[in-house]
Amino acid sequence: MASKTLLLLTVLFILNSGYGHAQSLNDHNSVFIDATTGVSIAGNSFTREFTPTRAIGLNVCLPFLKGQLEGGLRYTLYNGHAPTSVSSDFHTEFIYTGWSYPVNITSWYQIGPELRFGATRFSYNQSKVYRNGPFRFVTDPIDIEFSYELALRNQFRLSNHWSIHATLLYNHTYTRHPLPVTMVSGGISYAFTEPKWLKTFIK
Amino acid sequence: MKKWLPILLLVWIFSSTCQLYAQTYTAPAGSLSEAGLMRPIHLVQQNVRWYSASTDLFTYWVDNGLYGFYGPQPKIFVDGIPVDANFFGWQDLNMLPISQTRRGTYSLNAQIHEGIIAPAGYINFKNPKVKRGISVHASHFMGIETGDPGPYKYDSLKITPNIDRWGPDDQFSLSYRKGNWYTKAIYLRRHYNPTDLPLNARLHITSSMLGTNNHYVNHVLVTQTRSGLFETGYDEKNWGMRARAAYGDSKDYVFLQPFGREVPAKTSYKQLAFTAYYKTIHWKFNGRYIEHQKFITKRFKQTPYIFDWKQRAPTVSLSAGYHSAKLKIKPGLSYQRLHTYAPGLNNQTNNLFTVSLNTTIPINERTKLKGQLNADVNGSRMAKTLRINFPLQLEKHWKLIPGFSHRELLPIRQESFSYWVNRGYTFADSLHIPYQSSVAIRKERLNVFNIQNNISITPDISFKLDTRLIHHLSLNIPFQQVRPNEYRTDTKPGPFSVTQEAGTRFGLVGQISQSISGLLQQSLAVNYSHTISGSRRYKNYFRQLPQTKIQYRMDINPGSNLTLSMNAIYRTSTKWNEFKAIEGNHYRLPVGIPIRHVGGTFHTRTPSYANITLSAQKWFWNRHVSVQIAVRNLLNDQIRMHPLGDKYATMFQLKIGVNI
Repeated sequence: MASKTLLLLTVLFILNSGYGHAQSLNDHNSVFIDATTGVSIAGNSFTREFTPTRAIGLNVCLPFLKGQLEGGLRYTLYNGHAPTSVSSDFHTEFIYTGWSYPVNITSWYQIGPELRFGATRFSYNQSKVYRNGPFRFVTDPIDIEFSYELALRNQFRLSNHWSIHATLLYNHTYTRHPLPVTMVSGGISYAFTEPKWLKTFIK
Repeated sequence: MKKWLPILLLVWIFSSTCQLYAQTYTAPAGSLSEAGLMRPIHLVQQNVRWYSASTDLFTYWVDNGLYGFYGPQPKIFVDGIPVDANFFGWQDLNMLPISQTRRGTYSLNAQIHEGIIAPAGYINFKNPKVKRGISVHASHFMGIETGDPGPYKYDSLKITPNIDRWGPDDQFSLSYRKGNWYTKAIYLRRHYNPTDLPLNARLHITSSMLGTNNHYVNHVLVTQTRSGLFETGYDEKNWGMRARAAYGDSKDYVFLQPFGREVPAKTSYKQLAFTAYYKTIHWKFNGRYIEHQKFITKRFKQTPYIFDWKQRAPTVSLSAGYHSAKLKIKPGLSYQRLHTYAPGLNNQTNNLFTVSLNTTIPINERTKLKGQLNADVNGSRMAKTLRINFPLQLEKHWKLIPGFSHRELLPIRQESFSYWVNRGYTFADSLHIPYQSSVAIRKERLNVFNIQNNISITPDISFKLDTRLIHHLSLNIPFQQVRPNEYRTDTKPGPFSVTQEAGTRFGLVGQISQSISGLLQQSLAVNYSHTISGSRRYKNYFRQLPQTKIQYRMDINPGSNLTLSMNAIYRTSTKWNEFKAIEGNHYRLPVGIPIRHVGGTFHTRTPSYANITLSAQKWFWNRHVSVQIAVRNLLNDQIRMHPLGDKYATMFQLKIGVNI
């Protein structure tokens, strides 16, 4: 009961926290910080062999060229079912930058296509060793590969500062056998006025 | 001469037809996008006129169409001072102390530049100008090529070895200017890990063959280069001086053409340079002392073979330029004392004198006569060069530049391994290269007729058409008849010879460029060349160059401090006849990588390809921070430039720079 009350108070605090500000925060003057989580929604040969289980991420958006410049990091854990004697579990960190073009549908709802690209760092739990007579081939414990991501972001405004969002995204990593992952992610965003030093930095 | 007449007529007709369109032309447009420039070779490859080929995609042979890939390489300058990092034609631009790789000038036709013989043209890489106060620059580059196994490394049926890794490259520079005095320091290091399987296998076998078996396939075969530069200078209104020390080294796998494959080697160079000038209203006097040292030796201690070749070349050059409305004239004199130390070499010292005379004589308001004459003397041998250009401003918007040159090149200037073998260098014997007794390196002689048209179609659109006829009177063509090994799975060097060949080639470069007020710049260029006549070996040699190259470039600046670029190049196939004996042979890897069957087939032809590069550059923080991103080989075409060469798949590269 106490936890529910605490949750309610938190939501009320969030909803009220922005109303004291004279300036309305929008895509052209604000920085958004998102905390996200996500799940894989469409199965394919890759996700059947290596199943994504949990994803959490941090994303920052700021005004740039009629839209928003994005940068962020997403951590995803994979359970490996590859036919191997060692654990083929691994986790990835997708570090990206991108650009989105949000369109306001109503005063509290906006939708925006996004294109992101960056590097996916693979950290494998165990290396696989292949042997042939005296020769050994030990697989690398860490890999970095290029990925791009297409996303459609739905953002619902709760207050001047706070929003929630749900995003449908498709991530593609370029390896010999490509690694496609389709996910739905959701989370909460906090907006604040873009500081002058950040404007200077971007320009 | 009769054979040339139809060609000259053809060239003239080509030029004359342009007169029809010459009514509304203005100044030509040009641009150089920085977005895709991350390594020095990218600057060279932006120009459709240069040909390039590589076995490892790190070090390239570069050619201006005059001598082919096995001829002299373009002379490299850094900030106007020559740097000599050429080892028997293997010239690794990654060893140069170039900060930021953004600017450069070049000439394809120069025979001499700043008193230095540059038979295959020159490329002058320019570091940024030193600003007032303290400036610091640092950058980091890395690239990822698609094709790694990813998590499928756990699946023995799907695993592939990791593919090439580009970088990391790091550079750091520090500079300071106060008043007329400046000083700067640059340090760079670059890495490249060519994990191409046949290349790895060949290096493994070569290492074994040369005495060490420690470098198995899949071992790290990183090529590493380091370079540094320290320079200080003082500039007054009428005079100035510079002093510079430069250094570079590389742990490399030098592709030695007479050997037909790579040799693990460590190469390095050092340089000390002092330059000074004094000028008056009409005169400019230049003096320069440069001392080059370069070394090539074995890379691994275990290898018993001896490469030890080193050269020291102190050079003094003086020039005096007179400039007035009626006359430009610049006589120059250069003396080089070349000391070469190598096993088996008897006469270690050569004295080389170069005399040059450049002149421009205005004939009338529309016409000039430009001439260049130089003589290069080594003992009793002399090479003479005469270049004449006759720029004509035919109309307000049309400039026509007909020209002729006769060029000669001494054997000692040809950077040829065979030249030093001829003088007693024993390394060919160490590598068991079967040299034919008839190997002789002679003076190279050629005539070039060219007509250049510069036409402005509108204030934004310009058109260039260069036609060129090259007649080689005597060209040294080395030929290594590469053979299959006993198991027909790999190569080994066969008989090697150098012959003097004659022939004629025709070349045409057409380029149309458009520039719209800094917002958009685009150009379409075609480079076509054809061998008209010549011996069989001559014709085969020039098949190593693609007959046609087509390039489309586009740069868009959608916002301040943001550039988006596209560079698309189509190149026709090439043929390397030296590898004819292994044509169709199937190769397979030795048992070093027990992953899956890996093999292929040797071909003398390299395929035609289309290489599309998309790149973007964004500046942040008042141009203090720059981020460059490039996607190369967007279509994932098979880009391979040599029968034994590595190939690259779609690649992503990132470079981040900070300027303070």
